[in-house]
Formats: sequence, structure tokens, C-alpha cells
Amino acid sequence: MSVIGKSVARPDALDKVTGGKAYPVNFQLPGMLHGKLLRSPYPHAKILSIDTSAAEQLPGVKAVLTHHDVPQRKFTSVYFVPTDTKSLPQDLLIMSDHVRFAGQPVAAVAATSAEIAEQALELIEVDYEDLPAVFDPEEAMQAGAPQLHDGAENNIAVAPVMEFGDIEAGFAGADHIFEGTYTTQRAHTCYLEPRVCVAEYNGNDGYTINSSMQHLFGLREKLAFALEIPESNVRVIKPPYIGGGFGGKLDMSYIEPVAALLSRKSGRPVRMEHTRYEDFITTTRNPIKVYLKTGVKKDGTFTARYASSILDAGAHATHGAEVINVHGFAWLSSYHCENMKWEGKSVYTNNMIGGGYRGYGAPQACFAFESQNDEICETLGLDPIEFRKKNARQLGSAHPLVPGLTIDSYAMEEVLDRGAEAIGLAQRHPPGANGDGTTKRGIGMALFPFWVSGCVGFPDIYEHSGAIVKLNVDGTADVATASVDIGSGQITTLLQIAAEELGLPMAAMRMVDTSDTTTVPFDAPTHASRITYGSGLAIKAAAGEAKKRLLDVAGTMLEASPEDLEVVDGIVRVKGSPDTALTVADVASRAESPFIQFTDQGPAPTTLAEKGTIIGLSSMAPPSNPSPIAAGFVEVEVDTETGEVKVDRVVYSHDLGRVINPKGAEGQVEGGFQQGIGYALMEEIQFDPDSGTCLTGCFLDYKIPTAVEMPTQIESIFVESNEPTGPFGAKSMSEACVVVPAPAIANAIYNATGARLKDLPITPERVLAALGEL
Amino acid sequence: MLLPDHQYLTVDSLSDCLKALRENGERAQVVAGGTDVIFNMRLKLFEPDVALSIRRVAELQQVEELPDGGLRIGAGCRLVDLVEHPLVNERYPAFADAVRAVASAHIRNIATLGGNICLKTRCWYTNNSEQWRQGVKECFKTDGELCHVIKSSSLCHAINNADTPLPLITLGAVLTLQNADQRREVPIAEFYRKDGMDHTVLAPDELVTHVTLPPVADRTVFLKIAARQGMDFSQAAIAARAAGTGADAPQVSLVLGSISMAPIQLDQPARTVEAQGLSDEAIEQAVAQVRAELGELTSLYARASYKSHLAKVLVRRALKALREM
Repeated sequence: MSVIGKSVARPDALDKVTGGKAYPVNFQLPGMLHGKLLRSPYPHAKILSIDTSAAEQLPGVKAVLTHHDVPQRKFTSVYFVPTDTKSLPQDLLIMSDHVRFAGQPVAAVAATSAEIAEQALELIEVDYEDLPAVFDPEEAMQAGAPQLHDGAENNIAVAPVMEFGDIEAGFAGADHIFEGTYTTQRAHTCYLEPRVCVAEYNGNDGYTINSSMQHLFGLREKLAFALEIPESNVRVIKPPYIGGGFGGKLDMSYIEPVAALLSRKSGRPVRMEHTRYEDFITTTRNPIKVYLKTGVKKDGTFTARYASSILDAGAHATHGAEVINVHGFAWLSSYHCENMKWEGKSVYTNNMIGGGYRGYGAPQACFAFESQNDEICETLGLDPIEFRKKNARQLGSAHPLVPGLTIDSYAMEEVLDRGAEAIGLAQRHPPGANGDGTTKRGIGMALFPFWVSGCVGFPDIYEHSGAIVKLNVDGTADVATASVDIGSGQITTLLQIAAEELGLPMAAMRMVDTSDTTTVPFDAPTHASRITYGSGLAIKAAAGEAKKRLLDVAGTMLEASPEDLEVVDGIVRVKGSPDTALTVADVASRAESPFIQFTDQGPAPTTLAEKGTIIGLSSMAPPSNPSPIAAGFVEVEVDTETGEVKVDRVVYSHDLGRVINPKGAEGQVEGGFQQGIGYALMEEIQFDPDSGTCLTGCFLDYKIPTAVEMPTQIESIFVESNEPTGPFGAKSMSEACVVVPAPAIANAIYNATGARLKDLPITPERVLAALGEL
Repeated sequence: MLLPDHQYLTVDSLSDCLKALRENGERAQVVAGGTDVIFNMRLKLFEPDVALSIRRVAELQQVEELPDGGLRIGAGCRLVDLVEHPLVNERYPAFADAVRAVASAHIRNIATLGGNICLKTRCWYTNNSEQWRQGVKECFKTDGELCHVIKSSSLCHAINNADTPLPLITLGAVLTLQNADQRREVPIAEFYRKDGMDHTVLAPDELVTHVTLPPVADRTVFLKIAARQGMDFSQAAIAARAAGTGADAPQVSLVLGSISMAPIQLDQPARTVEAQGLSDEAIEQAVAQVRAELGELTSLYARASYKSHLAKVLVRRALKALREM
């Protein structure tokens, strides 16, 4: 292959490092106003009255909105589920007189400057009736707790259960039973570009929206639903790229509908941009408390696996109603066992709402089961690699989540063996035995055995993609798709796939950056590790169609059968006879030429049949949902006197089917570990237990690892199992590398110190407490 | 998160600065590097009518070698200037380490020594934007009568997170404070007050103009522990100084920072090692005396038990480091 597998440079790189003019945060319209939200300082309250008269009279203020001015149609903000399927609770309003978390918007202002808008917020008088609040999901389920939503008894938003085999019989047949409770915290994706949008009312109930988000068509559908207008009245512009998403922009925020309504009221475009504080309380990885009970035979074979998970959904279900399911899937699919049962609960509290974040429930699950698996191996003296091989799923077996599918590529053993070899797992010391004085070293590992490449087979979730591939007369190709590059390099990998299929060099490829919901086919969101596989297949299909048309015209020109032609590096040639050749530009020019073209050599007639633009179009669902396999291996140094943990060395091994762009894939791993190390050791959105107010609303108080905390060495091992249904054998990459760090680090800390940490983040305080030093 | 309305006043000379301070008093906020002040103004933690920039006052940006071998450092010197200054590194290595430990290279490129010395105390209830502070009751810093950190306290318990004062205290540095009429010399050890609200003895019309360091031949060390290595305030930090060589330490000074409203000078542990030397046993005896010297600790930013643990660890490590010098 000439383009696939090469570390080609990102076409968007130069633009990004010179200011990134195409980021949505830089988008402006002439005459636009600036909107700001007044947010409730109280976590649970009824609004008795709002007086906006003083704000309205402030010079420069053009529109003010309260809950009286917005449609009261409840919706779910989650992009990837059509609202009318009702599979997720519709419990959200653009603005409501019922405040359920500290930070919920209660009024909005549009003014000629952001300063004036902020000033106007201070002039709005809100009379609140304080209501009792509950912040702990287990307390929220108890009798007498404040009830947040009608119809959600005991504040339970959803309570899915999955059961296979006979769990009791499984435990009865076990030689050993292990139990443990694992907790995870609220974490933010920390995308660098804030949530930002510009909305313009076009008259006749129509709106145009530009926003930093992960799904054009999802925003269109949610906005139309909430505003009670037909979907096609909303036109969502595709940003050429956005400044990070990681799942954190996988739902409509308050700002899009509010900006739309402010624009309608003022008659001018309205821009709204979050402060970092607002971003920190907008979406989060939901905290989940996981209880695991696992039965094993002496040799480590699972006989029964039971899990129960309690998820803090916050004030509205949104993603929290789906994260709980995917979390259950991640646990359930990970290892094979005849007898399994899982009970999940997603619970309303007066905390901030949850959201998508890379891994979507899997980091919480994998931290629990891989921590426990390490404990099982240590207790029973089992080899951690052999134990996992014994219990993992196998090539050719049935897909554990989607009936009718099989596992067609699964290089689990190679992933484990190569990673273990590279880190030196077999040579590691027994727990607590490496190091002297107050410095201990340890090696730990975690396997994420089963995940997704998109959402095929999952109920109610979109999974289809489309693309347009068009050749130009100069031999270049334009590719248009609704799939948004959220920073992970989709522009590059999708163009590589199209280039390989067409036989064009990368330099001839261009991603169209001006599409919108009216000009390109539907695409599911940029989420679920799906772009390379799902959108990649659609791009490949569209490119294939264009190539077929290219070969038809070339066949006429070369007086050869199209089946006998090939395209290599922009040259169409007869197979086995490379001198009988034309450039792609020649062929495209002929196809686009007038019917009888006068050239220096005289008129050059062409046939009617070959007239037209060489173009390909696709809109399709992928045939399968192949699983990547990822294993993380880390070496840590623990200061047993201060509790500090330093991740020194990382080996990451991943079966991704086929690597499209090695540098891009390594970038995913390195970024994934930066987020994963932060999740494991320091990141946590914290709230004042009395007022429910966020205490960590800036990067000073919400700690993410800096370059100094990053390991000096991250070695990526890509195992290419060649997925038969994938584009050039590829499956998926981006989420697994954020899932394995936390359990691998926790297990390495155990190996270093003998202390088992079951609560994230593993702060120095917690390490010392586990060592009995505090 | 926009800046409150204010007049931005730039002065070119110290006398103009002091005149402006005299005229505006508490209505003015001096801006040196601005890395902390501007951020807190955005939070509307204080809303001065006048932001008084001293960035162009060249006379505050000199490092002067004194005849006795000491240094007189202008408070307007940027941290990066000190980190790179050969005499600072040669004569006061622990101080240079403390300067180097502040925030990140980007911030040290603009932040000043005077700014770090005057750094406002911090608290995560109050160092939040105005809109969010409405959710919690008003505290001492926001014209209320309560501290969220210790509800029953009559004092503000916000933390003094400045790193550079710790070695300066052990080195016996003296600050020059000046107003339009007069100047006074205040040992930095007497500069801080144990009150998060009104945390220094600086008067509203005064400016810290210089830091004078006497010649010091003793062994010194600075150690910092933070939640992360890059770009962070300390959870606990220590500066230590000892005369003598080896285990012999006839004069010892130990100063802890970032665990309370002011730097804490540890007297008893210092006396213990002065009397008994820096043996492991004496060090452990000194460590055992640390907790009693810390007074009331809060769980602001980190649990009180963790802070007192870190204080002991730092004392042990600092004393052992001195012994090895």
C-alpha cells in the first residue's frame, strides 16, 4: 500500500500552529451580539420570580430571556440517540423554573459586548425558594430524599439489568470468591477550545448554527426538537476542525438553543462562549461506584461474575442514562464466563450533569475488573498474562454484545505477549520488594479485552456514515463528509483511506471544509472509536465509486477494459503495461470536457456516456463492530514517605487491525495516557459539600498532568490483525488508550508497595492512608 | 470572567508610583508581573479603581552587589532574572531553588519577586468567580463574618502559598517598604501576619521596593511538595539553614510554607538539632516536635493530617540534606 501505514503530515497542522483561524471559537459574523448566561448559585431551588427590567434597560442590551420566553418541551441532549426513540429520559429544558444543580442557567442576555452582557446579568433579580438538595446517589435512593424528577421513583433514572447463565450455581462451583468495591470520580475532558457557538435567526422559524461540537446532525435534531420546529429549518455548519472534544461535546449544551432564541429576539447573530468554569460544570465523566463479586476455580477460570454499579447522573439523565449501559457492556464483554449478572443504576442527584468522555463508562469498569483481576492473580499465585488469556474471548467466537456477529480479528495473545515482553513483566519483583528506603518501584498491567468500533448492534444509536468524493480536472480530489475532526486526526486518516482507494498521492487530497447539514449525507457522531472504521468504510466506498467511473472513462481513452486498469500515484495504466498510461488529470479533464472539444490537434470527440464529473457517493452502515484489544503496562516509582506516584515508563500494546497513520496513532496513545494518568492520580471535580458549588473551576485547582508529569518513555506497539470487514483491515484506536492507564497504575502501585488502592484518583493522601502512614 | 472596570495607570519612576499610591490608597492595586493579580481581578476578588503598573520602573529591577558580600534585589526583578543571575545562584542556592520552583517558566518570565512576596492568600471557596461565590455565604474576604474553611473561626484561614519568602526568612533578608514620605526596613520574618485577610504589615500606601540579603556562608536548602511538579502551588514547602559542618549545626533555622495563613518558623525542632547535632536520632526528635509548632491546621486544598505529615517529612529531609552538605 502506498499511503496506508505511512506517517503523512496532517493537512491542518500548519493552520493550527499558526493560530487555527478555522476553530469555531474564531468564527464571527458582522453585527453579532454576545450572549451570557445567569446561572443559579443554588443546587436545588424553585424560582419564585425573576425581574429582568433593569438589565433590559442597560444600554447595549438587545435581548433578555428567562424560562418564560423559551419552549417548555423536555428533551434529551445526547446527540447519538434520536430524541423520539425515547430510549433516554427526556428530562431537560432550555430553561426551567426548577433549578436542580448549582450552575443551571436561569436567564440569558445578549448585548453588544460581552462586558455589557456580564454587567446586565448582575442587574437581574431572582427570587429563589431554596429546596433540600442531595449530592450522594446512595442517599438519593433512600426514602425521604428530595425527589428531582416526576416519575423517577427514588431518583432512579434507569436501572438496567443483564443476566446470563445461573449466577448462584456459578458461585457454588467456585473455589475462591473475590469481592471488592471500586469508586471513580468526576473528571473533565479538558478540551482546550471552550464550548462556543454563533447562532443566527434567518426568519420563518429557521436558524443557522456554528458550534464547537462533535455531531452536526445531532445538534440539528436536538435543536429542532427543543425549539419545536422541523429539522430541516436548522442548518448546522461543519467546523473544519474543533479544539478538542473527547466526548465532552457530544451533547447540545444550553448555549446553542439559548443563542438561537436570543438571535430570534434581537434580530442579530448571537455568539456565546463558555468560561472555563462553565465548561467544568457542563459535562463530566460520571462517577461510578462498582461492586464486584467474582468466583474462580483454582486455575483462575471464572465460574461466576457479578457486578453492581451505581452511577451519579447528576441533575439530568442525559448521557448518564446511557453511560451506565455501556459501562455494563464493557464489564460484561471483557471476559468470558458462563454465569454473569450485572445490575446498574443511574441516579439523579443535585450535582452537575454527566456527559461523554473517551471510554464512556469503560474506564470505570476496567479500573474495577482489572484491579480485581490483579488481586486474584496475586492471591492465587497465577501468571497475570496466562490468567487473562484463559478467560478472554477468542477469535471466531460469537460477538458477546451483538447477536449474529462473530469476532473476525482478535490478536489478544500477541497484544499481551509483546507488551509483557517489552516492559519485562516476567522479571518484576514481588510486591514491595523493589527499592530501598522510601522509594519503591513497581510494574503493573491492565487489559481492556473488548470494546467497539462504532455502535452497530446497539439499540437506538445511530451508526451510518456518508461521503462524497469528487475528482477535479487537475487530478486532485475533494472529499466531503459530515464527520467532524475533533482533534484526533480524522481529516488525515480519512484522506489516506480515500487516497489509497483512488490511487492518488496524499498531496492530491483535500477535505472540504465548508459543508453543512444541507450538503453532505448524514454521519453518526465522532465518538465510540468509530471514525476510522465507520466513516472510513463510507469514504472508501465513495472513493471506490469514483474510481470505477474514472476507470470507465480511462478505458475508453486507453482502448482497454476498465478491469485491466490500475491507478498508481495519480497515473492510470494498463496492468502489466505501465507505458500505456494517462494521468488522473487527463481522464478527469476528458470527462469534464465539452462534448466536442477543439484542441491544437483539432476536434476531440468524446462519447455521451463518459460525460460528467467523476464523483462517488456513499451512505451506509458498517457491516460489523470489531473489537480492538488494548493492554497497558506501566512502571511507577512510589515515594512511601510522601505518597507521591511517578509514572516512569509506559508500554502500550493495541490490536487496531491495521495502522493507517503510525504517528497519528502514537499521538492518540500519548494523549490517552496523559488523560489516563490524570484520571488515575490527580484529576477530580470537587464540590463544596454544603452548597454544591464547584471548587475546582480552573486549571489551578483542577489538576491535569503537565509535561513534567508525563513519563519519559511511552512505547506504542501496534498489532495488525487485519480486520476483514475494515477499511484496509483497520478497526479502532482512540478510547482504549485512556481506559487502561488507571488500573495499570493502581496495579503497579500494588506491585511497588503491597497496598491496593480502590478509589480514584490515587492521590498521595490516599497512598499514605493505604500504607497506614496517615 | 471579564476584568472589572478600572483605570490602568503606568508609572515610570518609584516616586511617581509612591505618589499614585498616596493619592489612591486602598483604591489602588499594584500590578508588577500581574500573573496573580489580574487573574484575581477577573474573579472579581478585588476590584481596584486603579491598577497601578510598575513594570516600567527600572530602579526596582536591579540586582546590586553590596560591599559586605550581600545582595540588594529590586522587588520588580522578574523571577526569570533571578533564576539566571550568577550571584543569586552562587551565594543563595536555596533561594534560587525556591524561585525556580514557582509556577512555570512562562509565569517566571513575567512574575516578579515583589509579587511573590506579596502574593495574596488563597482559598478555593473564595478564589472562585463572583457568580459562584454567590452560592456560598459571604466570608471575611467578601465582607462577611465567616470563614468557610473553619466555620467557627474569627480569622480568615486562606493559605499563604508564596515559596520565595521561606528561604528569605532563613537567610535573614530585610524588606524595604516605602511610601511617599518615608522608608522603613522590616525583616521579612516580621512581614507576615497570621491572618488570611490582612496577611502582611504593608500599609495601603506602601510598596515593597527592595530585598536585602546579608552575606551567608551557611548550608541552605529548599524543598517543595506539590500535587504536581509543573505549574503548581506548594502543598507544603520548607527552607532550612544550618551553620557548622557535618552533623555539627550550632545555628539552625527552619521555615515551613503553604500549610497555613503565614510561613511558620519552627523553633523547638531547630533548638533540638542545634543542641544535639544532625544525628538521625536528633532529627527524629526534632520531627516529633513539629506538629506542636504548626498550630491549628485546616483541610483546605489537602487534609490537615496530610499537611502535618508533609511538614514532618520535609523537616526530616531538609535536616538530612543539610547534614550531607
